Amino acid sequence: MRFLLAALGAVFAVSGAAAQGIEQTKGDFEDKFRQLDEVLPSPNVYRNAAGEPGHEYWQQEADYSIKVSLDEPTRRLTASQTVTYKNNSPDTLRYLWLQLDQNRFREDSIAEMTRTFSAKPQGSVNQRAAVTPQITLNALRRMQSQADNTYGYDITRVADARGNALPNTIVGTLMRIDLPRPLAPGRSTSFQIDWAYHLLETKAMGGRSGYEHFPDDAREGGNDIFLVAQWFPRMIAYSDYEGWHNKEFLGSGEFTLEFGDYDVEITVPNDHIVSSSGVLQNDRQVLTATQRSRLAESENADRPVFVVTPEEAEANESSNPTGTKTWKFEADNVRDFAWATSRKFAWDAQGFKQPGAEFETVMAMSFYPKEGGELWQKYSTTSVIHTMEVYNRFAFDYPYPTSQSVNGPVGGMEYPMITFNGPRTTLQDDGSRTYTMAEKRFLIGVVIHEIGHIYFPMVVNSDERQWTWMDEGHNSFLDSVAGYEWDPDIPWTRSLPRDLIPYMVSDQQVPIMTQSDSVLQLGPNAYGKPSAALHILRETILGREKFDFAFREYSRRWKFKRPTPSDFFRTMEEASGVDLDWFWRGWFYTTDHVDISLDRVFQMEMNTEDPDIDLSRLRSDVEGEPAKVGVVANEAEGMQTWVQRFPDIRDYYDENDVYTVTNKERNAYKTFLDGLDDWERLAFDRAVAEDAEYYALEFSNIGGLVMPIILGLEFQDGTTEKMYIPAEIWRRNPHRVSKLLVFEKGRELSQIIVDPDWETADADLENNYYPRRITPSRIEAFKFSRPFSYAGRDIMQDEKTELKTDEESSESEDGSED
Amino acid sequence: MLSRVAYLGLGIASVLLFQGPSHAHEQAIGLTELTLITPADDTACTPDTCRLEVAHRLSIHDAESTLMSVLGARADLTGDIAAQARFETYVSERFVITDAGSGEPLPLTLLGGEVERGYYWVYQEAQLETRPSDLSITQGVLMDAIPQQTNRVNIRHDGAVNTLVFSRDPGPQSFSFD
Repeated sequence: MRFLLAALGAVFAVSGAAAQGIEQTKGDFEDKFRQLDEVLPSPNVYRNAAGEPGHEYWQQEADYSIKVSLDEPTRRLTASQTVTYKNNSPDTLRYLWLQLDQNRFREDSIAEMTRTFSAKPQGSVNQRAAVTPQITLNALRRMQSQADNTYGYDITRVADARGNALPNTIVGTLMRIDLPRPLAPGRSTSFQIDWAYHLLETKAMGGRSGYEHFPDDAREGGNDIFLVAQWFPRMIAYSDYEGWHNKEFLGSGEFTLEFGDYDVEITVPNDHIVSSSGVLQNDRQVLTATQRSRLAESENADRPVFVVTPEEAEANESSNPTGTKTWKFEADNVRDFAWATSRKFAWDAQGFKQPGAEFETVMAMSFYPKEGGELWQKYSTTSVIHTMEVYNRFAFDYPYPTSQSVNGPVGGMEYPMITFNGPRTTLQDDGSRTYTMAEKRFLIGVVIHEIGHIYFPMVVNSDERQWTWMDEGHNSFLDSVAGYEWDPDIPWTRSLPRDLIPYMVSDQQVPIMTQSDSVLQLGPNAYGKPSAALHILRETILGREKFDFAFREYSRRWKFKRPTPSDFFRTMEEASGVDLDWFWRGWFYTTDHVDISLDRVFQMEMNTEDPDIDLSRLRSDVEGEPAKVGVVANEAEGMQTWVQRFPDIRDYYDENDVYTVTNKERNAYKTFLDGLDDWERLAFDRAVAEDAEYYALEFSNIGGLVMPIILGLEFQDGTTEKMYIPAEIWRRNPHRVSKLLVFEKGRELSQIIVDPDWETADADLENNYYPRRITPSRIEAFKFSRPFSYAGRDIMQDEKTELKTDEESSESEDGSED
Repeated sequence: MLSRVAYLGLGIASVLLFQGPSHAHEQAIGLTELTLITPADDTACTPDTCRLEVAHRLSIHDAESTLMSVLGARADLTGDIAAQARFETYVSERFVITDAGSGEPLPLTLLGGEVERGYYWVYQEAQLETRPSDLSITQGVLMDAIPQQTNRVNIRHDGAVNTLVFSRDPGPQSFSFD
């Protein structure tokens, strides 16, 4: 089986559009429309040619039962877990691989040992002073944290279901358990692990979980917020296309995980509030009657309802626990599990209704300390709900009973049913909390993005490590759709075609489909460029109806399953009915950019062949030419020509110019007409009668990426028209193409603009205009005007400014800063 | 460890840096468009006909976080002119172009900046007396506050675009126009 997988793997590892085996070595023809089949992996019984799960599709299942407790003063988690692993593959497994993500922070881990140090000075202008390497305080704090604590797992027991010790080997962040008996296809096995580890301080050590300390809270010893993720030893994915996905966790790549059911018991100080994946099973034991009734009320509310009010949360900051409480959660069909706990949390909730869905009410909830302030009160839970409203239309009804947003030290991260989001308010000197427009936009955007991730990849379970773009690209696309549906006046950025141009023209980029863990594959390649491509596919190439249908079909097919890029490409084509191989090839397999140039426009007039008409046209064409400067100069000098001096000497040619029509021409015309076949005569007569306006347009493809040619046409009578020429026009010659446009008599063009609405990420606007426009550079334009933006002043804060008296005003004019 | 701290004391005192808010999901990408403008007919450069135009595009959110971290000041780039000026000055200090031959920094004039949707643009310009050949470029914008910041510099000249990528490291990197 491994052999077959290796062979498939080899087909997979094609990183360029240049297909092995077929090489065009003559001329410069490039087939931009060649079908992608030779590059995609062969369809098989697990993933078929339609892009659906095949009739023998399988995936493993891993269920977890975990009892964990948090010791707050030492920030240490101690737990005991049972894993039940079901082998649905056709292979017999002799060992199992688990991932121990916390081991990344051990002093001797590959991640820690290979951290680089930048000895260069941080951007100092003064070159002379910058000879000594400098260490940031940030790096110092991290080193000290590493020195003060022992990070990584303490694993105290690995045993089978009966309690017998199991042989296991730890390899960095991986653990291999050797099974006493090989696990046959269709069979399950269970084992237990007891473990403990120290939560790390997220701001010091980095990472996506840990604690944040608040030393200034009104409590001796301050308070912490704990975000707990990547916290338990969990099964590594075993798939049909890669076998075990066991690669050392270095910190920046994300995860591939299996679906399963979880039941988790979390023991924390009894004055904490816990937010977690899953549904709380024992609310009577951990919530007060007031909290329970508020929660019930929120199910049918149309605005968030506080379960723990901000005032209660702030008062609770000075509390000291008198014992512990155990919160019990169950989560079904999830690929991961995360939770958060703190005594600082305020908690609001609102039920989101999905009539007809598996979960008709989804509890949207937010947990945040006072530092989240009004920003969170106003926008967190409602953003969660907005996300579900939008994504439900594009993918499927939200498939879990709850959807949560938690504030803590992590800027933005997603787990099934729970997300961690960082934006906060700023504390002003007068004790109030304010925020800028950028912070507001960031909070709404990050909540939408993280909740969106619950759909992609938490449920449409693509491989985040190998194809980061499959979840980040899809999610960036959808989060920008949701953002524009929230408020198109808020300036969202990064996901639209026009934002990607500087990246796409640069010569330091790799194709999106480059398969690697390389650190360079970030940002624009995984988030922005795929998102721009999907916008173009939706708004310009397929149109919303075809795109939305195909995208929903893709989401439905791979809900709770593991898709690969070829499954997405194949599904979109098959469900939309449009050949998109040229599009995938150009956008995902190459580093070409879009730059279509309108080089020349010829205006033409139909010859009638009738000499009485044609010759007189020629005469007026010549008369329309500018007068010869020498002749004009002569007339100005008052010079008299020979014909003016001897007007009496005249002949035939003085009366008849070269455009004179004689019967010889008329006879030739009649011969021509008689020589036409009937159908030719019909076509000819009609064309002459219509006397249409003919324009021949010549385009060249400078950027390489073939795209449809969208024309904005302006006519001399003031009317406009938009014309869409499908990309297939480039199929015979991907470099140059000509197109004939015909308009009815009288409709003459005054201007043609290629891609007038900036839909195609065309990198050079100057060659899109015919006649050419003078296009100032950005800097030239700036120098001529100095715009001031009124948008988003922090008016909340500025309002508190005291009006200056005359004295104060003249004082500050003397140079002291305001 | 302690002695090393002491030895670097001078360096650290001048570089007071704190970790800004966590940016686990920010792209942390900066873009600089550097365009060399020369006479179309290939004649020699004069300060009137030859110049370098520099346009930096940074995300407003990252820029505000950096200002708060590095300058200890609350920053509202979309509305506060003083914050804009501070940020523009900061950018001009972190971006340095040196002539590799002479070692002299190019005289970049800070023109100002503007908000465009979610980006803040900062503009600079240098008049050139001769056509440059070898440059050394440092681009450390936002790196003091955002450790994972990557800055891309697109150099446009003679119809081509060449890109330098500064990934977590301000450089300098060299570039040759030939």
